[in-house]
Amino acid sequence: MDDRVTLVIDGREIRAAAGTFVLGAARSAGIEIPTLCDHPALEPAGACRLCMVEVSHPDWKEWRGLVTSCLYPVVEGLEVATGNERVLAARRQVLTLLAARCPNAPLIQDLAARHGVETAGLAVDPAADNCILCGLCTRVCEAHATAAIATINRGVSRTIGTFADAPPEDCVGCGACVLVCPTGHLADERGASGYRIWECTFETAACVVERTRCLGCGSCEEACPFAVARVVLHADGRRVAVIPPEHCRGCGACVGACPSGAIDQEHFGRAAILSRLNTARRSVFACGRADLTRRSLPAGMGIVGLPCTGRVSGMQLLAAVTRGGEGALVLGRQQETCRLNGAEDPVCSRVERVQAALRAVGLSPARIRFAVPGAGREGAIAAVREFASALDALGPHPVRDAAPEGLFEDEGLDSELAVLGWLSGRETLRPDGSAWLARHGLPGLAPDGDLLFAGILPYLSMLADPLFAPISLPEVLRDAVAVLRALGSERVGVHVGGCGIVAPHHVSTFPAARRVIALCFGEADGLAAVGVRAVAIDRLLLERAGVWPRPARATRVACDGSEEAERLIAELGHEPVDVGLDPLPVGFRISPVRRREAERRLAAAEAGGARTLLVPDPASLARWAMVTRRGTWRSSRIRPVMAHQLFLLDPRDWGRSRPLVAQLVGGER
Amino acid sequence: MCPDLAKVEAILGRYPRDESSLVMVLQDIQEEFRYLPGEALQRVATILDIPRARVFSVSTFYRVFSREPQGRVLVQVCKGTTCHVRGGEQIEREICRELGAAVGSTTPDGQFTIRTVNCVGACAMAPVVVAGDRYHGEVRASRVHRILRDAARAREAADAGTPARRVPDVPNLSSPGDLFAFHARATAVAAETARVRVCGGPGCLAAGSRAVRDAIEDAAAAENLPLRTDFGGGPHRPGERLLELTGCQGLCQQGPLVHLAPEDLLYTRVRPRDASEILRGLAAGRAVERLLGETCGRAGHPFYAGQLPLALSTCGAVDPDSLEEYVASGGFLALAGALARGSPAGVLAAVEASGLRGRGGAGFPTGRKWRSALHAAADSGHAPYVLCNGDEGDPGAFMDRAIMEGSPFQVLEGMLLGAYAVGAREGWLYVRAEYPLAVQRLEHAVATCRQAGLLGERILGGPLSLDLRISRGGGAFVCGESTALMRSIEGKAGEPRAKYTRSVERGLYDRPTVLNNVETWALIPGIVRHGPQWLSSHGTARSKGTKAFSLSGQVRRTGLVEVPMGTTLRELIFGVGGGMRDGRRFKAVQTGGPSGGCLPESMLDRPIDFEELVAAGSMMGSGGMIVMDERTCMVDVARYFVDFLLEESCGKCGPCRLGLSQLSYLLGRVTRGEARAADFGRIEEIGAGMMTNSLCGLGKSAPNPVLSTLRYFRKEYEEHLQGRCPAGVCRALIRYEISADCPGCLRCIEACPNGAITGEVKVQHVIDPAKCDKCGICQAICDKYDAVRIVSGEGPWTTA
Repeated sequence: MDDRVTLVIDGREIRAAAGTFVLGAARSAGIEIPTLCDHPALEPAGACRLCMVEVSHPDWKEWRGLVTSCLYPVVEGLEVATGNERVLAARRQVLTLLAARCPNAPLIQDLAARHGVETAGLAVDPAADNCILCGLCTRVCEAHATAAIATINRGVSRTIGTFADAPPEDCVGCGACVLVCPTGHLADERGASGYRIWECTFETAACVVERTRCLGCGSCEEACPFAVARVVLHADGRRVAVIPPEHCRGCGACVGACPSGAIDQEHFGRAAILSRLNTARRSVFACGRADLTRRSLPAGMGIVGLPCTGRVSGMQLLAAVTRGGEGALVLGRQQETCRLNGAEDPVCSRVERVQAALRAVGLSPARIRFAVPGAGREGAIAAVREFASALDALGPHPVRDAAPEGLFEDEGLDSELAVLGWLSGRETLRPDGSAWLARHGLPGLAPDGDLLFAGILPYLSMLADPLFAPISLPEVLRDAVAVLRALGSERVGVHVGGCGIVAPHHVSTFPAARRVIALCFGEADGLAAVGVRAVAIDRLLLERAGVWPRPARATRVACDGSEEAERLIAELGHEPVDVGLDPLPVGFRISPVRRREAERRLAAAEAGGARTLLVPDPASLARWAMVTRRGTWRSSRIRPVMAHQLFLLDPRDWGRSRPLVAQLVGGER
Repeated sequence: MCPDLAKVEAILGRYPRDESSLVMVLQDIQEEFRYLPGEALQRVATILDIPRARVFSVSTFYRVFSREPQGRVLVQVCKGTTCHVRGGEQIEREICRELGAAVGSTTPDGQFTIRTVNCVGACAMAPVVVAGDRYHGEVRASRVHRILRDAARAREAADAGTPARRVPDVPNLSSPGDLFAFHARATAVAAETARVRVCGGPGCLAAGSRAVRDAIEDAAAAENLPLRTDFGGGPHRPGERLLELTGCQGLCQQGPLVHLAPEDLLYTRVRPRDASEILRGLAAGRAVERLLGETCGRAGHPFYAGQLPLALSTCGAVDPDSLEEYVASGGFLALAGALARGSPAGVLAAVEASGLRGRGGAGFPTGRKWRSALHAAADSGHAPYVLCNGDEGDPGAFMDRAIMEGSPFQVLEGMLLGAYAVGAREGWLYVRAEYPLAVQRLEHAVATCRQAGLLGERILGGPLSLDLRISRGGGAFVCGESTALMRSIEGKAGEPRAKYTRSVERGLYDRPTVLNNVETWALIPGIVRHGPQWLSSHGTARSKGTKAFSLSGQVRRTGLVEVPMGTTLRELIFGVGGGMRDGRRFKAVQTGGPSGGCLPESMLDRPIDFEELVAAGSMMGSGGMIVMDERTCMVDVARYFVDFLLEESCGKCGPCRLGLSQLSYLLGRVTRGEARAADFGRIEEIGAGMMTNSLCGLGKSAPNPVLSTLRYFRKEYEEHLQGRCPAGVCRALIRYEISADCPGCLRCIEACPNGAITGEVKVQHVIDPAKCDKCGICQAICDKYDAVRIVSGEGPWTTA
């Protein structure tokens, strides 16, 4: 059955989905009908009566009636007039009364003036307020917040108010009522003490940067919905995020996004939140608007209250499924109707990232979920109930042993990797990276083929790929596969195993591979520790270096001056530039001091004529990618590479396709 | 003050724990504490799991709720149209003055709370005041003091309350055959029963009929005369009489009525002290001449002669609480017949063929509505609900009250037949809060039917199962609107929604819903039992059957009437109603309540019919009919309705809320003589806008009283521009003067609260216009000499 109908609006044939209303159909066709009580996030109410149109129903042809377009369902063959004299007269009548009611509301007065409406002879109170009782505020509060306000009394004495006319206990200060108010009657106030509305004050949970931990990556700048967080470049070369407390709205989106755990939030300190995760078997991350605190939740469900769900970090999600927790639900809440607007999309993709990581370590991604519940109180509770039954269906958590407590003290990429590392050491979990490989076009394992051990690299990519842009970590693996093919491995497949560790039970998942190849010497050693004979790709390159054609043009490649590095560079036909030892620490918490040292090293490389920096392993590559991030003023012209990428090195190829690989692979054939 | 939350818990325990219970719970809390304590509201919100603001919203939407503790005696001044026309405003002012408190407030000693109520449904006795639980009819300003004093005393005496009537032992009827047998037994008893029927209709109750009934019972005991009060319960002794308090017998204006059967003696204006004389007369076989009204009995009485009681066929003839008596009068034969020999389709076909149209006002064909419900039920897969609209909010209308109080079983039988026809399994009766007796009678009837197997699962052993519940309104006129009524049953504030999807498809809880008003349901049993022509043989081409009206105002015989459609207004007012009171001149008749209009004399020969009344600028409405004479100011009536609706509008949509307040402003200017001719254009413009742009029927029809009076009585409006109110009503335009008829008795001087009257014994008194606030007490006091006159305008123009 076709679920679209055709109607005629102002002489134009318009197709609209059945079950929708005339107003929407008109607007989608670019026909404007003025409204005062309509909002995309709310059900139509038909309160303002401004959207009157004349319709002629196909079943009663002789009847032409004035109806509110926001509520009149589209019908096959319906004829609608939105601007004939009858409609305009009705609109003028409505506006006359509104104009007399609200002489001080510019929106109303403008509309009235445009329609040629005058109020002479009517009762007009020059001191009248601007409330037109459109009901948007109460409806948005009922649908998407806590129903803290409602209409009080009836008829002429009808107002918008709160329980017993007192400051509402259940108001969560989302400011939705103010956002949707068309006439500016409802006013809020953001001051030093916090956010004030309905005579309630909500202290701003200001985000505070811990400068010694900030690496100036700019994640906060990208996350902040209000352009308040900024990375500042000091004269001495330090780059540090600055969040002026007087401007911060306290949504916490930057905290959730920070890869180094350098930002924390007042009143919602990370330690407190992480400790709450310890008490609930199943966690619901929700802002006050979900209105769950006074509801009876399914057994085992605990609410983790946040100012905005944009605050949810990858670490919190991981902790919720590791620390004795069975799952976590993140409830979005119609961000466009919240004053902490816009932090929902990032957290939605964060949930997807962590889901990918969970799948890779062998846990069901269904254990965490992002959901935007339906309207009203029942919407949120229904989402929670549904998630609870989904968790029931998943059965018991496969990891029974307790994680070491130290694992959950911090947030940021390091902590996330540590948790994933611990998880992937559990014998009950079988890592499975096939989904990730398929997504990035990487070959899976073939029997009797070569096995490229991807190590920590897929996890870094899953958790924080945008942080390394424009360097793409899957691309690094694709390069490695290409190089290995060029070196003669025909059926090379990538193995995604544990995150940063190789446990004996992972090895049992290795098929009978011809060869196990590691991405670097370090990982080859790690495999050796569990009794797997692996060869680093660097070694293969060195072995075959002389055999292959040298690049058309040698470039200068910066390195740490170690004998191994210089030899690799030289053997592959490039020219090493010694820029000293790597100042960056293990892990991803890079202090401004280290960062400045890294900048100096990059400057030295540039001074030495190098555009490329050789790094020894994938983690190091990611760290340097963070430091050299491109696309902003923070970017550096130096690009970090791993050894196998030297093989493909041609400065002109930056960011483009890799003709050399094609040439090499094709050449061998 | 901390309320006793245990009581709140107990109240909450009586209802299901969800939103639908909210209004009921709040009503019980209001009754218990005489207000709604904030703590109690919080508790209710928590237990019923409703946001607190919504609970507060509902508690402020309905007028029966108060946020401040109420006085021990609630004094309710009726603001119905008839009461207004007959001087209710003066009574209201006098009560406020007497108690030193404003409407809506409580006296400092906590004794009295004054409230206005938008019609208590005792219009025939207007103006009406309800003090405590006693109705006072035809109240005069001079009687206010005594009424209040008595109410204070009565409160002290009877705090115990009246016990609810016990559900009698009724046989369990498990098949249609059982019912036929029950009917045969009951009919046999009825045939040999002689009766003393004391009218317990709204008007007679206001006139004190309950005391009359008690006096008759006492007198019988004192004189050892055989009298029984229960219809059933064993064989009758020879010569025994049945004493019953029936529903409304119609002729309210001459109440309390006592009707003796089979003699057909109709005693009017009976006082308790007449009881023993009546009984002695009965024993001796002679009538008490001085109590007889215009004729000896109902036969040949001009009031009853022109009537045709169909909906009111059992009202006033039976004890409303007696199932047995209802069955004896043919009750439930329709249901038993339909279950035994008929089918749902047969019932529906009969209703369709009868041409019955909804008696709630709009006149939608009932059969078509039911058929739509059947289709909607088939489409949605949900059984429809059946609803009875007993929210008779129109001021000046009390037919539905009379039916619910007088023949509750007839309404239930109608709903049962409706449920059978459309396949409903659940239903509600929504009864307005101002009708506590109707609620009590219906509750009793529902309980009795449950016990008898006439409600519940497998009724009379057949395929029909129906559960009926009673939902009390909260004092909101708008809840008579179908979608608002459904919201109210759901426990929400009664705000209408747009009806682009009809409620027969998506009504209560978004399920298919059949909503009919009380009178419509009451007609169903007759149609099913006697066939469609029972109804369709009467009436006009498009409006079949009869219509019940509550005839009130300045007409000689006020009361409850039912006449065939097509009867002219003149026949009704001057025939049945006996013409104008006190020989005054007819000016207008108001029909359709606040949605209707005022029709002038030139329209009197119009037949009563849905379309005819609309064409004339009014509407049928639910059946209130208020007759006005030359002392009624039409501008004032228009302003009255606008102010009435201003309070009753839900306020959801702008045209109604804002339009009404502008109309009130403009009409207020007219009544104060401040208006200009251009204002009339504005009034018409706003009225036209409200008619097209309002959300629901209330707003769309709200300008009718204004526009119809402006259409037919424009001259009177124009006189107000000149500063003259010809009817002598608009206070800003009148003054009181004492004529030469004054004998100089000093009574008005004593009564005047402002000391505005001076004079000496046997010398004509004089009113000082500077001090007079036009309260009208002097005129009320001077009923003997009629020397106080109202003067309006420049000339020596007087009216009295």
